[in-house]
Amino acid sequence: MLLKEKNNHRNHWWALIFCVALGIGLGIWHNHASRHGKADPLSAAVRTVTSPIIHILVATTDWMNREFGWIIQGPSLSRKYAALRLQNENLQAQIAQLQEDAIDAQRLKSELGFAMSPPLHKIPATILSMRPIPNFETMVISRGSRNGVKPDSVVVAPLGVVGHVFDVAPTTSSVILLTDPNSAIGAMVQRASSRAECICKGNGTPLLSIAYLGPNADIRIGDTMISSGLGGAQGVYPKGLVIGTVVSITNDPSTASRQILVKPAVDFDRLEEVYILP
Amino acid sequence: MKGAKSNLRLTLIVIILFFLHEAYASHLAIRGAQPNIALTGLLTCSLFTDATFAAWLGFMTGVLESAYLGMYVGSLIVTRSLAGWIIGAMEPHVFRDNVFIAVGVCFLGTFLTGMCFYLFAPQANTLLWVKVTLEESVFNCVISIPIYYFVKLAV
Repeated sequence: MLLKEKNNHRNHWWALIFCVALGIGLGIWHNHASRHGKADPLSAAVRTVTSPIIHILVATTDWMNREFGWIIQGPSLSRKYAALRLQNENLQAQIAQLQEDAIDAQRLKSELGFAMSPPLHKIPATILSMRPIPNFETMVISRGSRNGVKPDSVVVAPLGVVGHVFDVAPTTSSVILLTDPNSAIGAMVQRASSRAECICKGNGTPLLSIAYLGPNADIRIGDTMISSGLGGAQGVYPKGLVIGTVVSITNDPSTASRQILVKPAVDFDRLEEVYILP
Repeated sequence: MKGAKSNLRLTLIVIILFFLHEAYASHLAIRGAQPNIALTGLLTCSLFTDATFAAWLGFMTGVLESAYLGMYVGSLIVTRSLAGWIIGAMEPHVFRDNVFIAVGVCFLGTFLTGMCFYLFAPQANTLLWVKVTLEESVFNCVISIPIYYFVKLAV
């Protein structure tokens, strides 16, 4: 009896050693594949096999929300509808004005001999999993290398930048969000009298912080920040994508610098669909 | 044979909870705090099996979670395997028929797993990491109650 217990005890240790050793081996394999810009075959296989089930779960929930959500949201729906109708009318007027401005800008650009930037090709994708591990600001989307997604492809939503792809499997991709501490984007103020350039960095909170801004740069609360197309840790974002709005500027007397916070234009908790710029 | 059947059920429960975690955990978020249903499933299931099988459950959870995170693969697998193994090794010594044991195990297990992960893969903001891990631990405590009764019923 004692011998059996002793053997069991030894087996438990061997199981742990085996799992830990295999885990370390798989980690090294993953890092090696990532360094060469490839997907780790095991992770890619696991995601390819499991993602259809998660896709079905997400699609079923979306369908139930669409079909039966009114039962819960009933009283607030008419108020929402009236507000959206008003907003739609205002936006229609703005679109007409902007279309006129775009035509003028295009004409002036061609007269001055500027190169015209081609329209961006977008791949739509649904979100399979938001923050798979709560400590990291990442998400998994339903498009992968088979759809033309590559590492560092930019991910946007209608309201602005979401993040960029960092791991691609055949049918899914992992995206690092702007709010993750490992994320940074070259930014500039979208105001004709400023155009100050800086870096917008994630810090794990819902707000982004600004770094590398000149001491005399003109930046105000309410300014819209757009991607500058330059710098950033990744340097992958094209120019002109909306990042967010400056919501706080505080002076730090000890370092004579300013702490500036930006609220992302995209509400990451309400994202349903995104677009990839391959 | 009974042991094999119950281990198969535990494996299925962990896989199902992983799917639920990936699809719905972000919908349960309150003020940015989010549970880890897959980890709670692992910690609860480990109470009902021995250390060897719990280590395997942890390994499997680590592989599944790391496939979706896309980074820190080794750290995730090792921390989950360790968590499962330690709780599995405790199994003969704890009174698992009390739901509060499962709640306590989930709180401590989540927090220590998070801290252990931090040791393997240090992050830029330590305070933020501790805060998020604590929030996750509290959330996991709450969801461990229904998961505990589900596992108990299934096994």
